[in-house]
Amino acid sequence: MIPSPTLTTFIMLVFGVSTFIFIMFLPALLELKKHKDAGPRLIMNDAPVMQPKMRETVLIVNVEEEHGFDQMLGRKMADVMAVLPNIEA
Amino acid sequence: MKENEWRIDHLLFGFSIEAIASYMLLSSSFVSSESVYMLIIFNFLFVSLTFPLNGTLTRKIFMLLIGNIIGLFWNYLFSLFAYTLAYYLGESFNTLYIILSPFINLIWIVSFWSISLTALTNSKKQKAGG
Amino acid sequence: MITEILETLFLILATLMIAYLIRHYIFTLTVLKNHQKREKAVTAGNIAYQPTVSILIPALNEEKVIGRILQRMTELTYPKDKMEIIVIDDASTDDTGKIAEQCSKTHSYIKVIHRSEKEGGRGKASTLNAGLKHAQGEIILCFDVDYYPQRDILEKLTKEFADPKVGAVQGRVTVLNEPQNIVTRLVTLERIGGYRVDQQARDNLGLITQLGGTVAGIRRDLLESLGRWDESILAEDTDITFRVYLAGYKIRYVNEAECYEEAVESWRAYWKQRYRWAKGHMQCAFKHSLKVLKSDNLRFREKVDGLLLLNVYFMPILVLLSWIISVLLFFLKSPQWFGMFWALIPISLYSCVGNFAPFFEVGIGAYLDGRTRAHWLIPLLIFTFLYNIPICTKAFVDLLISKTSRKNYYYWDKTIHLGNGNSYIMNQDKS
Repeated sequence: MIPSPTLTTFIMLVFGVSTFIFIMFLPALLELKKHKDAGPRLIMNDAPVMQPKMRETVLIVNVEEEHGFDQMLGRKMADVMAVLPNIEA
Repeated sequence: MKENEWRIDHLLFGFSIEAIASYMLLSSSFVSSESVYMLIIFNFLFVSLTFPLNGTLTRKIFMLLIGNIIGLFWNYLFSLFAYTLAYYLGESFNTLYIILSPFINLIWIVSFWSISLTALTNSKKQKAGG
Repeated sequence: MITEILETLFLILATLMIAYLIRHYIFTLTVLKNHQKREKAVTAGNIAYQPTVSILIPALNEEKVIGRILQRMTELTYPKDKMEIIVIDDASTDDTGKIAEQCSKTHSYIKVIHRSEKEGGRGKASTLNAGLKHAQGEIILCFDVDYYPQRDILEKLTKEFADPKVGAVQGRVTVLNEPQNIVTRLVTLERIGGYRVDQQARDNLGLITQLGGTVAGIRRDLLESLGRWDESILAEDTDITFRVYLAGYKIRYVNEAECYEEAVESWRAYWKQRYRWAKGHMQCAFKHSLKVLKSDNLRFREKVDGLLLLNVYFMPILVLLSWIISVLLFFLKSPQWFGMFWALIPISLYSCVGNFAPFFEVGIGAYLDGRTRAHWLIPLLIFTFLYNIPICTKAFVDLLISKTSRKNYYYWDKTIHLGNGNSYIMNQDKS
């Protein structure tokens, strides 16, 4: 048979339950007050502007190929031009 | 290619542990029926929502164990509280316990699970950084 | 007798709740499983299909934010000769029209349509239809005026139209003013669950992907054949979603096509917005549920998902009803199986929040986004759900009253944007 609870027990239990409920919401309250992940979440711009320019450069290299231009040099120039706008960004 | 976020092996292992734990809880005479229901629900939710994620199996089992201890402690505390309340304020407060306990139980389950996600996210970052 | 009726009702409601829970759990696992597949980055070099687009931006008293989106539109990487931007000034009483006109003077691809007081104020659908009359593009895209898209968002959205079966596309919405206050932070959680997990899973599983009315695109000829936007429906996006599917087309969700939005910043504004969504969604439920059931263009799983999606705004009301019934059952007579289902109610409470993504969808969505502590706020979502109960109940009652009285009173009770997102733009824009 469960013994009759005393008033002290009752007060302690009230305190215990209240504390537990407070602890349940503690992470939420902590994040609200001292937020370490408040956002906003970054969304990235994946497609750089230079892509269409790179395509034009490749076309120039193809035209020069027909006239015996140094293709290796042309491709190196295209690679450098492709990178440059990124640095500016 | 991104790291695999789907650990089905951990999930299957977790369900096995959960089945054993549920059987033990149901067979136990020391735990009240309301507590058993909530712990089974907690175990199912925790295993199904945490074990598939990245992170070590040890960490997940450890968190599952902590969750069960918290659950047992909370259910014991709250049932004592309801019994004491009913003793001092009348039998109708027993009904309050029956109505409120699933809600409060779910709040601690969700709160605990949210913290566990942080532990797994940190473990993921450590793995990526190390 | 009464007890048996209550028990039967409770069992039906419990079955519905279980159906939604299973559905959302399957979504969560699907997204986790498919997360390892990284989509190929979209660049101008690998795009074979670049249709002409018309971007519709409906605006009503948005002087604080209109300049921001128009400036951003000029920064988009999509070929300017293939796009046009149509701002529809819906009889604004502030400087919205003036700001838009100034932009159109310096950019030939920006047009402004001014609606008079007599024409305007009839809702977003009416405004969009007004803009559509002037649109020339093959693809119609809609952006709300408080949005701030990625620079290459058009490439990401329009590439899906290379598949002739795709009738519309939807991009992802991310909250820009998240740190503002508790309301914006909770709305962010709803968005994470709703887009990162719910929409993504529905796309992965070939179910009903929902158009959100913004960051969305649709084929112009399809839209015309469907009779344009229905001006009698408050949720014109949901309505178009189902009309697209019923016509035999699909909608794709493009998670990497992201756009910032300015979320509501007060509980009052939250109420007004969700009330509009709930009422509009319920209108669509009445309009389309039977058609979805009978349609030959939808597979069985699309019909099931469609019905669950259409009726989702009734869930807060049904959850409340199930709670009342269960309390009554408890006092009248508590059957042995009752204890098992009692726990469903609080779980379902968490299942119906905001965009109606359960707590586990929100948490997993935040986890996949690499958020470290945003999900600590999830327990607070229960209060958001409790707030949604009276919102949805009022929306339902008002809808019933308007149906029985046959008085359709629709006006654009739009969200007021304060432009507080502007301060976050400077930190976010990397280009």
